[in-house]
Amino acid sequence: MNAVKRTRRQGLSESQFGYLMVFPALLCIGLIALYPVVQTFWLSLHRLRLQFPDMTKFVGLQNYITIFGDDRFINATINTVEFTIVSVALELVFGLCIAMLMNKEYKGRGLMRAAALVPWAIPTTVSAMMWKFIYNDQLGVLNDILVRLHIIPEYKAWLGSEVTAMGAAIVADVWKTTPFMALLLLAGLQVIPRELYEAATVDGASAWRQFITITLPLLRPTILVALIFRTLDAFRVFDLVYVLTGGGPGNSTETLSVYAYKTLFRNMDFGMGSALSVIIFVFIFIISLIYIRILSSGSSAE
Amino acid sequence: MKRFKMLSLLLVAILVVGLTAGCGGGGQQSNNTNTQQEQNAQPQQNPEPVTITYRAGKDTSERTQMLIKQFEEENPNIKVDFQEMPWSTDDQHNAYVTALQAQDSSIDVVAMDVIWTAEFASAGWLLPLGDKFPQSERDKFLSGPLEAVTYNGEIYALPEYTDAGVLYYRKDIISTPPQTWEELMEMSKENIGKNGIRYGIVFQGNQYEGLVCDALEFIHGNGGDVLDSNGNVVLNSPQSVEGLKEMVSLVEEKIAPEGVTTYMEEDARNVFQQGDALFMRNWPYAWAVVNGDDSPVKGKVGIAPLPHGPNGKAGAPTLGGWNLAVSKYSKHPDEAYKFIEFMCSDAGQKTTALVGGNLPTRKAIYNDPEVLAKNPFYKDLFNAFISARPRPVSPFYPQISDSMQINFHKALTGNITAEEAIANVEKDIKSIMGK
Repeated sequence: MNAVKRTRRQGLSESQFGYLMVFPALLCIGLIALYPVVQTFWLSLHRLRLQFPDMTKFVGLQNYITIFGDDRFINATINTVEFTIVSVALELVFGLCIAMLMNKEYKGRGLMRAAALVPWAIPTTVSAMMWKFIYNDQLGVLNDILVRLHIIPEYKAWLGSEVTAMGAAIVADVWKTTPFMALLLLAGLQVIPRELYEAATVDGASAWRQFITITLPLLRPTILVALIFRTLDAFRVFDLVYVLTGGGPGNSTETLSVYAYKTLFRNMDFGMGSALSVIIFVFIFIISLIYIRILSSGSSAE
Repeated sequence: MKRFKMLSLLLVAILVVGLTAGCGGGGQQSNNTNTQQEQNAQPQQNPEPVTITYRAGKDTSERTQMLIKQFEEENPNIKVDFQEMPWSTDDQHNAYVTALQAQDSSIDVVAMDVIWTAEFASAGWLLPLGDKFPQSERDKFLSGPLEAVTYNGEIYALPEYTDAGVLYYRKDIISTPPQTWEELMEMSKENIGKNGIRYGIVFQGNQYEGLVCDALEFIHGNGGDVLDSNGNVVLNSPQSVEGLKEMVSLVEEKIAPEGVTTYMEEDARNVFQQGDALFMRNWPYAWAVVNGDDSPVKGKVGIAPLPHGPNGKAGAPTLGGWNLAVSKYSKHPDEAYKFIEFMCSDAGQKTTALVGGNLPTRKAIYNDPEVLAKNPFYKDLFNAFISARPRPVSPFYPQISDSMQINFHKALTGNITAEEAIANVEKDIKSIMGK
């Protein structure tokens, strides 16, 4: 008995002990995160329509084959990619400008920092409703401003035409998430040693040159982290689009998440809907991998 | 090091024991309360009040609140928790699906759009009500709405109110309402720019279920149809295309505002109520609201059957309406049924007609003098109401509707032609029904 006990205690190596310590946390993550993912994947291999629960059967990869031949899926993917690239690029540019402003010493900086966060603090659904009113064709403040400035001759239905609806959604997203980008970048800016700028100024480098040679390279890891967050968020965009346009006009703003949601809860097709969710998951996984690769290659080069 | 490990192990052990102990304690506690409740319940004669949850879409009138109050007064042991849902029927549908597929028991009474019966019944989420709802009672209801709560011969809901698209017009400007869509366009062109009229007509043009209702009225009203009596898809006909074209031309020729492609019922009503539009396609509920005390067009509004197309004989309103069902997962099915029975009783239907302006489902209410005094159009439009055309009945209706929403909206926003839209929808429906 004693011998067994002793070997067991000795067998518990440092790393095993470590696993034991994190086991409760891993269990939690497993239950909360892993189980739904596995379950969704399992469902995606079935024909499962809630209208006919008795007719559920295993169909292998059939759902995936159907989806990849589906025009609507391709359309949704293009919309999602367009939304992600344009909105994240704009957010990065604006976010960087705002971050640099907030990093300067001036009176009322604290107030400015707090005020800049307001759009981010508003729940997306609420800000989407707000933008819906701003774009309204009868009472919208955007129409009012543009007509008064003689930029457009008459009120337009911004969310009612394919030409403007996606742009309108992107503007609303940029407005909401630029502060988040700015805040992340500000944190990065604050760790850049001030002496570098002082030295550069002494050497006679212009502000632009300082920005290119000091700020950008040193901010690179922060920018990448911020881009990861925002790209993944933008790629999964749901609430903003759902409230603003519901995917219209003519499905021109339907993103992958909206399509998956409609397939799941409107068409009650849990097999296809799960397959769509898995595809979104895979896309996001790939995007994350690319970013992490860039991030690690950058840090090893330094 | 070893000591540290021991200490840590001890800590883990304490944590685990603490957790399980915590759970045990919780269980014991709830056991205690159970016995307490039982003890409390024994000496009492009256049963504890039961709260049932009633979920339904946004109500712009006082109707629901009044009916609930009346019901609670009559049934002091039942409390009704009314949870208002979004206006859009699609959003309500998705909220129900989320809850019911998880077998959520927090909804007792489900307010269902007419188009969901097949789907929800087929999914097994509704309590069959046939044995509680005898034939003698059924005979008192209009046949259309009664059919809409029946699936495979079983009754799954009671018809709360029925709906049919109608044409609102400004009777202070126009003496006789138009018979055809062409006449409507003529009248609109004549009057735009006069008397504060900026638009000919407003309707429901957003990409959602309302668009399907409106578009089908143009198609049905021109002799087109989605399915024939044998269930074959016959949508792609010259009549359907011509009907949809008339709808598109309302937008193209700027008779409807450009933004109509973003309008739901309430958006259309707001424009009409401000006095900006000459005509409005809407459901009868709007009658009570546009004639409300704070309405700028109060007393200036007439109501007429919908116009028809060149190949149609009469306007073809889409059958709408809402039904009340009991969720299969309800813990209080008897109380829930009592509530829906009340809502669909003569008294309930009368309040529905008087306060909500919604069309009753019981035939008798259409002869009630008080109701007719408030809603004089019930008499004139009765024939139009009972001939309202249902949307295709199928457990896959949402998918059929989805295809119509997307393609009709593309046609309306000028992205594809009416011919293409009709052909796309026909192709989709065939593949959906073939499944």
